[in-house]
Amino acid sequence: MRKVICLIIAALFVAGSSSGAIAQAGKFSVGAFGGFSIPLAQDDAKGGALFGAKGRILLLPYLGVEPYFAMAQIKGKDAEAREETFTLGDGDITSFGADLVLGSISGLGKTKFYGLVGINSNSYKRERVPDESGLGFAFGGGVEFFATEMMSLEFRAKYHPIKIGEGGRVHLDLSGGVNYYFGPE
Amino acid sequence: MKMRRKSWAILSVAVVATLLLSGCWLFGITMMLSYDIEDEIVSTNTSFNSVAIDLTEEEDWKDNKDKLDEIYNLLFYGTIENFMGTPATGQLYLYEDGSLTTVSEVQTNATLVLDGLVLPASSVTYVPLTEMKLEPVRDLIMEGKFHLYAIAANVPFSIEVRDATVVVIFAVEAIL
Repeated sequence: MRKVICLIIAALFVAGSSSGAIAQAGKFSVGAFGGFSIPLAQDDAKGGALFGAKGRILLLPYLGVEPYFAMAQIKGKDAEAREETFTLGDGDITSFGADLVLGSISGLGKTKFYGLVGINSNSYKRERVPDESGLGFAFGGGVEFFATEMMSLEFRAKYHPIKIGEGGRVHLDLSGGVNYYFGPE
Repeated sequence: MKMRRKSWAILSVAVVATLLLSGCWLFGITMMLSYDIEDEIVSTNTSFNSVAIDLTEEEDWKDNKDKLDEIYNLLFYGTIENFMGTPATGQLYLYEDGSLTTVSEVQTNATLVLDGLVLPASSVTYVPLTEMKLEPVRDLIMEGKFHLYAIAANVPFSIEVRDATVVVIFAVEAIL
């Protein structure tokens, strides 16, 4: 599965660089982000910090592709047995993937809004249990403020379902970050 | 503008297609069930009983039986007393029913899910919530009904398990 995701990301990169995208939209960016990953409807896990790095290649003035890497902490929730409380093991999710970003991501104006959809590969680790890995998807949106021509601040929310075994775990990833753009103005 | 509308349409179709292709797990939820075992397991190397665990009678399990996707964790909590004057190593096994009557039958047919419980001589040991091996018994747990056996690795032994609880963490399909 990891190979498939790598191939998809590579294909998106090739498409981005060979389609005249850079010539047309003329920019790409690199950035870092941090935030909080919230497990949705999970009795055994609660939210933790989220960190990552990403790039963005503009395929069209309103369409970009973002390969990224992220790591989210998982905090164990309390479990009760015979009125005694135990805290389940912590863990983390390591993800890498690519999102398609669509919206006012290039052109005039200092504030840009966008939606995104993506695919990712995830490694799910918890203390005292075997590691799992699974395919994930991403749906969400964000807003980007351009402080200068080449630097932006960004905030986004991402619905992130991950297939673990035959079941699924869903996270809401809230993050903020900084992007630096390269290429012609 | 026309081009932008077209792209939004493509993206919308992609999102819907992805949702459909990926199935219900996109909206899975994770639940935790604590099952208190009322009976004791009294176990010696010559005779013992097992305890039946029936998750199917539990509300959370019953309500989600048809939507059960996965078992994520299986944990044990309890108190074990060693009546012998020598230390013992406690072991927990799971099997589909209570038909096993000898230690060798248990060791041969049941699945060892927790090993290495250190039980000092003539004393009571408290076992905090501890992860059991899930992989070999995943299908059995999915059935919802199974039996728990407790023996010791060294012979002779005389132990009793009481105030035990089994905790199961499982995933079900749901729309958030």
